[in-house]
Amino acid sequence: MTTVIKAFLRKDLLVETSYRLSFVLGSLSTLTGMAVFYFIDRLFGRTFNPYLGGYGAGYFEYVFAASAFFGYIGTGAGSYSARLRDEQVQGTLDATLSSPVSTPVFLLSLTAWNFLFATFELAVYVVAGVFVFGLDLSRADLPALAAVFLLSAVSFASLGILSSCFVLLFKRGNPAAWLLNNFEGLLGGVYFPVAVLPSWLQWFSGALPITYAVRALQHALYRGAGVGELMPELLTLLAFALVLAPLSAAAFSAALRKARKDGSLGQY
Amino acid sequence: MPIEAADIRKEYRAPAPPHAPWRRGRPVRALDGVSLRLGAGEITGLAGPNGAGKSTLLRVLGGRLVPDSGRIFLNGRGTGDAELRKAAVCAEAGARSFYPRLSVIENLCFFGALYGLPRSGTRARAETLRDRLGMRKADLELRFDSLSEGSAQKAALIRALMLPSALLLLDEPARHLDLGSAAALAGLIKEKALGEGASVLYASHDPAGLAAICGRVLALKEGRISAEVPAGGEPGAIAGIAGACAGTL
Repeated sequence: MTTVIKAFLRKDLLVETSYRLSFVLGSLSTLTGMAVFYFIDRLFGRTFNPYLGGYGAGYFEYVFAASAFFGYIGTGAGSYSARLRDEQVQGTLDATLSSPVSTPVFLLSLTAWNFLFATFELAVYVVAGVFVFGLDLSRADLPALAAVFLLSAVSFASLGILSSCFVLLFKRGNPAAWLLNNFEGLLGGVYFPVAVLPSWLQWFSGALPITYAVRALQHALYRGAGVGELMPELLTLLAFALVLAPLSAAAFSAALRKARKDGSLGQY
Repeated sequence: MPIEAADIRKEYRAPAPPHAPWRRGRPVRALDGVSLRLGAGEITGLAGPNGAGKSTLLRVLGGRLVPDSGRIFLNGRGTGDAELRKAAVCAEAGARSFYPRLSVIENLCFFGALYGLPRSGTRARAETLRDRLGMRKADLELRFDSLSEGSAQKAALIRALMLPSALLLLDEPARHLDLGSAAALAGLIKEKALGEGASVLYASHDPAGLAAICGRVLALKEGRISAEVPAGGEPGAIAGIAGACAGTL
């Protein structure tokens, strides 16, 4: 398994570095995006405080942490369908899936590079947050943060795998990706606390794993909330992971089987 | 490893016409009860006109396409598409099955790793095959999207021949090759069959090529095996195989 994952990582690294400008511009846009929130905070920061009081953070701190986190776990949600589509268009999907590599190993390998790069971006975020924007992360509870990241990554990777089933079967037009892209950020409390939303929209927020993940992250990062205090959020994330992981694996296997039956694996 | 297929049937649904995307496409019968046996170490040809079902049959035998019905046996044991993917390697036409922005050797190392081959072993094997097929040494280090059609085809052949396989499926493998490279390829395929005991199915429209390398040739017509033609130096073999290629048998 590690040989296959290493082969995918090497291949994706070589492909990415062959597009040199894209790599540099991607990193720069992350930092300029953060600068926008920094100045919004300086302009309106106090106004938002009533909603943010419970988190022990100002608006910039809040949106900085949530955006960095969403960028990381969003890799799971977004990269499966994007990578699969890339392979489909290049024509390498059929060749790769015709090898003896099992479906679970293929799924682990497919986005290994994306997760590795997202980890690097997260590190850039943290360094920039502390040394450029002066964030105070000294109260962060690391075990709680690790639990939030792990459970969220599993849930979001599962959503990503579910979304990639549409790519396998319909090539273009992916309602799952559309929902994830348009509603996770809006309803999940990434750019503002969910409490800002009208109560009927908050009901929808409660059905999304990102809502619990962002809430737990903010408390663990800025208030130092531990695993015990965050147990309701962590258990909810665990429930999402336990339901979504096997569901997504089964759905992907079924979609792959259907594509092999239809002979559409090589189509794009 | 001997492979046997019994009564394989496959029907496709053609894509909906562009002017009426809501309509279901017409059903197209690609394989209509194909049965065959490929012995270990045996090179069998597959000939037939365009649309006869050759590529579909290769894809089914390679575990890439699930048939509607019929059974496939490996070494006498009934098998599914996952086992077939482990046993078979399919040499497909060059460009669209490689990563265009990687070098040829990086592509080969990647696919080698999927089959459990170490990088050093892949490099050594690729170098030998490159030399035998008359590919320039520098071509291995070139980005795949900068290769000529002939070199891309050679890269596809190197990949197919270097991977461990009990069943080698070749779809027009000599396409884009010059005469010398085609002769070298014939030698390599014979070594794969005789030396490693692989079963080889060789689909082509070239009667002389089929006659030179195969022990026998199966004629495929409208999704059925319509005849079996002896090859391997038999008198009149080329004329018989030409009939199979044209669909007159």
